[in-house]
Amino acid sequence: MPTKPNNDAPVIQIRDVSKVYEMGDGTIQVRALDGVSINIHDGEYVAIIGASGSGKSTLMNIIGCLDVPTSGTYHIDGQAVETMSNNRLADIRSRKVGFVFQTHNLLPRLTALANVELPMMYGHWPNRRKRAEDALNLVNLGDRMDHRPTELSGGQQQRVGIARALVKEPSVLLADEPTGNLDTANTAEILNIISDLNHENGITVIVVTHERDVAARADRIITLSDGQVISDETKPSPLMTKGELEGV
Amino acid sequence: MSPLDIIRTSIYSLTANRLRAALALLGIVLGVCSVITLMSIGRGSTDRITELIQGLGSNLLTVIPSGDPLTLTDVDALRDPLYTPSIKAVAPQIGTFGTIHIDNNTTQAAITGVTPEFLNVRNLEMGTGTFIGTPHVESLSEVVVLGAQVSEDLFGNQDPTGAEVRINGRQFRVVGVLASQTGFGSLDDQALIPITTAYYRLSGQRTPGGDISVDQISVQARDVESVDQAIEEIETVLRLSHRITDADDFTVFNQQEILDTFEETNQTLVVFLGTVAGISLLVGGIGIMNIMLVSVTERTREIGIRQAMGAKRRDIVAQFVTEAVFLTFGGGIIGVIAGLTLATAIDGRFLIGTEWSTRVTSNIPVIALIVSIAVGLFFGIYPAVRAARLNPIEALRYE
Repeated sequence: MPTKPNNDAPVIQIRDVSKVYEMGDGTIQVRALDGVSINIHDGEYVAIIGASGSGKSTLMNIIGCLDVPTSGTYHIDGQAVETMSNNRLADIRSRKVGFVFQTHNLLPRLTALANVELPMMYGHWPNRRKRAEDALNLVNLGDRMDHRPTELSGGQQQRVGIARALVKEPSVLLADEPTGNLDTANTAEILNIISDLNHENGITVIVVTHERDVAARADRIITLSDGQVISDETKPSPLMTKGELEGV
Repeated sequence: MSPLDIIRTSIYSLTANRLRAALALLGIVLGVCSVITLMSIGRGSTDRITELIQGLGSNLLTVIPSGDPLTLTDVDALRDPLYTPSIKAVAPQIGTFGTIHIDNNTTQAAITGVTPEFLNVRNLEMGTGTFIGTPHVESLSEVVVLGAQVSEDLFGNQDPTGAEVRINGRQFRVVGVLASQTGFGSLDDQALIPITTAYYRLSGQRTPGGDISVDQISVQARDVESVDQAIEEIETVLRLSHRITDADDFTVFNQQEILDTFEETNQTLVVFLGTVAGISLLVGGIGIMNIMLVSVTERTREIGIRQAMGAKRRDIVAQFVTEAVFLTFGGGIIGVIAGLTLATAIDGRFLIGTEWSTRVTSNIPVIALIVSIAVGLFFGIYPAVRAARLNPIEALRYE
């Protein structure tokens, strides 16, 4: 059950999505996703977990509009993605999806501020500098804006990555193993930031991980195995969401 | 992506590997530099040839025999204003070679027998003394006017006027020295004597009819406009006097035609030089493409990141093409400066004291810059499209 009781259309609406990769000369087919259906609503904090090879990376790529399904439909913010051209996909990525990568993927020669400005450059955003500064302040890096990635710790780099992802106010923050390369202290810090963004700023978060304790921070855990959803559990929320508050 | 962002991004990328950018640039620099230098040498030589030939006077016509000899009778006929109103002056010449010596000095020179008209017809100027006069011609005087080089060879810097020299054993008195000339058909290495003296004393070939034959007749038309008319008059007169019914036994050369021929030849040379230089520019362009392809492979992950951040294919293409154009345009600018410097240096170093000079017309640098931009576009497109076609998922995974 979605955590939001209102009737808004889901931000992410995946219907019977399959993804088949053809290997070699096309004789071998690998079914990475097999009839997956998921709805994710505004403001949710969802973890997608599964072992390596379960199809979670494929699912993340499709949710992030880096790839399109072989069959089935996928709507993000009501827009059908599966038929989009490369350019439209790039457009959706620039406006609706904020990526946080395992290996932060910052451009090494740009300052933290310039890295955060990068996605806005492709989306023709105004006031880029101001927005980037705000985003960096939000992840408590206001004093590190002019540092290059190599001058920052792993946790700080990942915080720049998060700032870069949320600076364009995406429909969904998509984090792929965001703590995979971090030690325990930094992991806790990053997970706290993500939680705060979800709880306090109402940002929809999807975390893809294979670590149970990372997934445990989410309100809803979707488990994938062999390309299929084998469980979809929602924890009772300790806080009321925005929707619930409005309902009171 | 706005143009400013594209430029900023390209500069960011180029400064990442300065040495490599500089080396890629060097190919273009050399290409453009050689284009500029060779073209300006070519233009310079065109100028020089034009100048040389025009120095002769563009209303000068030359008649040479191509069958029966031309004779003094022909010359007299050409001088008749009734038949040749467009002709201002006629100067026949007899040419031979001779040894000129004074007491202890000898030189070889072309000895040309001329008439007084020769001075004006050929636009000559006297250095010292006087030219051959009508009395000299009439009395078969043994007088000589020396070319500047001949005079220097024999007398050094002294004025030889009045001195006696021996030409092929005969004693001649020097009456004057021609001013030094540069140019096509310079007479510096010649000695001029009266045409009658040349005929009767030095060479002497009579025609079967007993007439005096001449080797060449220089004809000066009244002005440049009447050149064509003068040619017709010469042809009419000579055909009549030679009783020609079919093929002419003489040929009339027009200075303008010679000029055109030379310019055409030289133009071919300039185009050839330009092509050679253009090939080096092409090689530079291939170098750029090579560097850009390496760069695309190396920066696969960066491209993946940019794609994930929302970069469209055209953004990626724009970024890489702009990088290539920056390289070639930068190389073009440096190449133009280097080429202009080199052309000037050639002037100052190798061509100093000569009448030669390189000439840079303002369109050469402009064309070179446009071409270098075009080279960047042409050779940058393929690597850029390769970059834009990368699959973002694979690019992000690239190590």
